[in-house]
Amino acid sequence: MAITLTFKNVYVLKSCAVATFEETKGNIGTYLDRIYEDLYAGENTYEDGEIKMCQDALEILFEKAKISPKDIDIAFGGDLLNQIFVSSYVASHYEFPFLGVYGACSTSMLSLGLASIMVAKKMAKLALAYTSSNYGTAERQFRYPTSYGIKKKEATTLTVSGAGAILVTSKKSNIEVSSVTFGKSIDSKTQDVTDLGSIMALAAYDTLISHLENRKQTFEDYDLILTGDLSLIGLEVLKDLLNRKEINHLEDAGTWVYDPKNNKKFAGGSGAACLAISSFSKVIDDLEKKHYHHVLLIGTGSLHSKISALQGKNIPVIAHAIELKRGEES
Amino acid sequence: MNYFLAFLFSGGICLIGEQLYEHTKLTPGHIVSLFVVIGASLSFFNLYEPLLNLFGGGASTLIMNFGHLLYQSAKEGINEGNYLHIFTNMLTSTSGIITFSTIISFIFALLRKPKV
Amino acid sequence: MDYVHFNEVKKMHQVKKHRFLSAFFAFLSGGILGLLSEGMKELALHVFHFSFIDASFFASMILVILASSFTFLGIYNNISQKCGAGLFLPTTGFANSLTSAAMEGRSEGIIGGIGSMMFSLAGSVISVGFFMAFYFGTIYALLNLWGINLWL
Repeated sequence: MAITLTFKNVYVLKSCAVATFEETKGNIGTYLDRIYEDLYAGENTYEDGEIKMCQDALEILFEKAKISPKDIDIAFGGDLLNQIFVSSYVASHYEFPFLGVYGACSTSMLSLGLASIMVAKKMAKLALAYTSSNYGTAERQFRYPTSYGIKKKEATTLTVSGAGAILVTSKKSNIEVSSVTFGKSIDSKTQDVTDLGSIMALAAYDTLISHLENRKQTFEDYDLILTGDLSLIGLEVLKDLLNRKEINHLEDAGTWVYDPKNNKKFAGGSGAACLAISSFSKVIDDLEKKHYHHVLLIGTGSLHSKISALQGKNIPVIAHAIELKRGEES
Repeated sequence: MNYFLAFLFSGGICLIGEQLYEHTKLTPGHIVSLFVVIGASLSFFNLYEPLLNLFGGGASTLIMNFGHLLYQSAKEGINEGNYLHIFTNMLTSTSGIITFSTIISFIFALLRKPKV
Repeated sequence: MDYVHFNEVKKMHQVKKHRFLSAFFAFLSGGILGLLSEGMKELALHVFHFSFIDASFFASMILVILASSFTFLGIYNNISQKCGAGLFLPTTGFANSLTSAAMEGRSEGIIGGIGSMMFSLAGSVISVGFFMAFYFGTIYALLNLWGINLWL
């Protein structure tokens, strides 16, 4: 059963998103805070490149919010690598207590939800949530070496390379975090790892319906419902499951980053950074500018491992949702 | 004529492999291993030599040839000596391709990091 | 959780496969590699006057050099995205798996990375090949021992 927690007095202070040149060709290019030339970000290995992007995202965020890292009471971070090494390593450069979390591609919403709970319960005045992912490191761990000549199937989604970070606080600002819905890990009853978008649609469906029921809301209450990694195929599957084919404010971050119209990459984008860089740049910006007033972000993740896929075990999927509201001018 | 037959055979086997890849859940690793087994089996029934004679380069370029060479070397070992030669002789024909690929990959890996 | 409905919806949205195009490119690329290999073998036999075994090796060597170099330059996976099985069934697939895995392991050093990860994808080919040769070889030896001389 998905659980919905509503908050009072939890606000977004500032957010930050960085990515590589490939991610700028879609819809969010102009909203990013820094752009890197390639996956290495000037470093020697893919892992170092991801660490640099994550580190830079935090530094730029602290500058934008005009705070020092010492002001942060608690931090939640995660990524796709084994033992969430990148997030843990970046956190070791700072003094705040660090809670590492793993939700596969839903990590951005999972960490943001947990950070919001801390602020809502007055256990922290300023909480940080961050995540990152990188095509090179993720392919290497979950699939095949990057130069391996395997013919990728059309339903494949490619991991987005970038990092996103967000600060939540009890001090009033324009964007309020109204609630979070934490989803249940759902057995998708399938072992096929080549088409993850469709099976994550099942988790997105369950969390979305639970959220609307728990909050007593409808689709029309929102200006935008943005899902994480469903991409072209998964988004259509979700619309069919909801029986709402005509709903056009239900969009997917994977098709924002790797837009099928001008930068088609198979079915679209996925990865922990996909929803993070889309929402922490464009969505937050548009909320500030009052293009949207009420937004629901649904991060979806597929909780398999390389060994579980080889052993032919069913893939568990999960989705977490965050509700953001534009307040009046403060 | 030899060239045309080589083209046909090589292309045909690759076509079969492509159908297997597209329509089943087999990965390239599975398909390649399957073809090695097929190569060794055909070689056991003495059916691979005629293929080589007829199609020439078409049959020798595929990974089936790898299975064929392994079995043939093992068989020669048994014929020349005792059963233990199945182990000492197995890699004689395929030694070239394995060692050459390993060494050239090693050199390339030392030179540069992968580019996407 | 209505899995039946979910599976139906999933099936409805499965991507359309370009069957003819993929088959055509696989056939074409496999054929071209066969042609190239045959040409190189003839070249070695008649121009360089190699023996038959050396000429076969020369042909494979050219394919390995091509595949490894393309992998090194980063253009191999663009080509293989089009050609599919036409490239992984011949020796080029073997060479590419070795080179790409070795290059990927570079960050862990020579011993822990390049050396140990090189055969991560091709290891199964080698092990399975050895085992099948051993299996059939043993059957052959047993048949010989019992004096059964079939057409083998």
